[in-house]
Amino acid sequence: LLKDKSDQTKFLVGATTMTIAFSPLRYLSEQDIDHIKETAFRILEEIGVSLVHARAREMLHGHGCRVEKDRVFIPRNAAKWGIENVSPYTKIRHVDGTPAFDLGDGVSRFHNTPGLAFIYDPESGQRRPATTKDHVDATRLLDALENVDIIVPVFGPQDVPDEMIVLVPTEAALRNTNKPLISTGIEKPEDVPYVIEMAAACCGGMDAFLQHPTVIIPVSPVSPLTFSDDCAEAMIVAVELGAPLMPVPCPALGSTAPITLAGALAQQHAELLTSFLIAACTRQGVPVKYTSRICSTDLGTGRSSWGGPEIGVSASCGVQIGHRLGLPTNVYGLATNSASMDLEFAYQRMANALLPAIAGADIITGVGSYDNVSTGDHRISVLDNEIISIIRYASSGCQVNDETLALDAMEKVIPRGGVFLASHHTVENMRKGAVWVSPSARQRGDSSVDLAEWADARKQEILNSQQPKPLPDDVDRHLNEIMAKAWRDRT
Amino acid sequence: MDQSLQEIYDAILVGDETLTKEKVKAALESGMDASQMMNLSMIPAMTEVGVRYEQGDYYIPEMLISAIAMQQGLEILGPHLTESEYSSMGTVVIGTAKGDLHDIGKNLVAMMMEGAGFTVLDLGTDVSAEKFIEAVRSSGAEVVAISALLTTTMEYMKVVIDKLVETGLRDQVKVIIGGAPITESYAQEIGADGYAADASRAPKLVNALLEA
Repeated sequence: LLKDKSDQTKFLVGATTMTIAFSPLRYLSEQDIDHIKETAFRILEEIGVSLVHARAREMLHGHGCRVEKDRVFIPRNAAKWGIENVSPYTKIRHVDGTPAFDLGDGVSRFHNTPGLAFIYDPESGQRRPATTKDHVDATRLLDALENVDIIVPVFGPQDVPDEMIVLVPTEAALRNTNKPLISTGIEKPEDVPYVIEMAAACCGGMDAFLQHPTVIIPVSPVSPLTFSDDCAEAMIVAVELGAPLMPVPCPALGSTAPITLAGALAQQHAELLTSFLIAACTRQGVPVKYTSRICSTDLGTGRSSWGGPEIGVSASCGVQIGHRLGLPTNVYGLATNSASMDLEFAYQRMANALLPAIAGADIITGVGSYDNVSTGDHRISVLDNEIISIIRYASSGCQVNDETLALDAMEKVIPRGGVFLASHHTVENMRKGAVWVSPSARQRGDSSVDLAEWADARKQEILNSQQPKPLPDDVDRHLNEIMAKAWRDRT
Repeated sequence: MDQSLQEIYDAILVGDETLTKEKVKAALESGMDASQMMNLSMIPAMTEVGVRYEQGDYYIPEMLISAIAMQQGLEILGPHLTESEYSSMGTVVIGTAKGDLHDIGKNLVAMMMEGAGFTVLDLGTDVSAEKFIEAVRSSGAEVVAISALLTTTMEYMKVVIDKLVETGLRDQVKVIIGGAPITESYAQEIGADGYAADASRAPKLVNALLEA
């Protein structure tokens, strides 16, 4: 895939610093963050991580880490070196390589829950295994929703062989949206070259990708502090091939992490520091994101629970810690325990996404899923588009300047006995988002209309009208060739 | 579309009253036919505004500033149009029910109706049945629009309707009512002809009533 790995100038090294906009919500004091960081260092030094991957162990040993049986103990100097030798991944690009936005401007961007196995079937009223067509529809829908900024392959379709469960939806996503893409979580390192090669095919080739990567590779260590062979290999391959890395540990309070949030944050931080060290050892300067995916444990069943306020609070704390490192953050938000579109569904996901947004999260995930992020539903994507519009307004604060103080407008309107509805100041500032305007325009109609029915109709309307722009012929051919090779070699 | 017609059309569409006046004046000075301006530019612009509102692209403030731009343009154009070229869609007598001083909704309906081409006789707030009757008689209005915000004043709407019956004017006019406490069933109960839940629906309602 990459012919000349020795030419380091080809790789993107991210910006050295990232601008962090002020955020009003801060659960942690600076001293609290120091304690969490210090605890993470002690975790790495005293407890160590489970890491069996030979090359990763060798690289870490080379940076002063102590290797004992399957564990690697990481001294703080090595962990600090890791942080100092990764860079913030802030320049986000569309699939075709054109610039999309820069993270760090104080705006939270949103993406969907990736890799779902199930979808709600409106015909039967039950969930069923998701298919490739479901995934294509979901991608087209997300592409049309203005408040969804980034797309991650939505479903792990159950109608393709396991070996292709990452690549088929990746190809389908690339063909159905030009919005910025995050790869679905990688479990098999063999998938990485194909994902990168497909992304590169769409953005102008491998050289263009290396300079301006269009896809970041998420890889999940297993909490607590376990880096399987495949996990470490996937990280190393992704970084070697020039992709930014997004380590995504998912500790659960009370089962795979301490039940106390501070402890879970420290453990998660240690898992991320280890990932950054592996990445930096592989390629200094590799761009990364800081993630938080702490969930709770249902203490009645032992299952992970994605709906309580721990999601929003832990995500907000994760944002603070990530920003302290100068890294962009990608955290959970739109999540609910509910398996139906009931009241719990609405208040849980609003609370959990609003908190990290006010805390200044750069990216928030969760669009389009419910039932503990296990099931996708097109209607939920439509409703999340609404919820995000409220969150965006609520987290944007109150600007005070001559224009917003509106003295000029008052002078024009009030003495004439008029109303501000017919004022140019109203029109201009309405379009700038001075008041929240529902994307659904449902407010104009009969508010007794059932929201689920409205969302279903809107989904259908979009799917009937939204068609992806076809890829250029050469890109289309190249994708076909890559996928033909994948089918040949992987199945 | 001719360039000057297009410019007037665009100015109304974006609700720029100053530009609309300027472009209408310039077109008249260049010898442009007034009825052409009206029929090929200004009315189509307001029609487009309505379409954009219906499609959810425009909101009430945008409709209102377009309506104001239209009115300003018509003020200049009016003297250059013959009566047959410029006929009002009808006359609406409007006011809030006696005892009710809340007039925002009533004002919005008045602006909407004017923007839709109706002549509006605004009686203001706290309007007695007698004042409504007098205005209908003197203007020959086709529509009476009554607004109330309070449950204590909404009952006065029936007093106005009864007075119209009593004076023999009821068959001459359509009565529409609106306001926060009003419902469709209340409108039927007191014998009104129509009710709209918000100001933006008033012109459509009146057009439908007058065509019926």
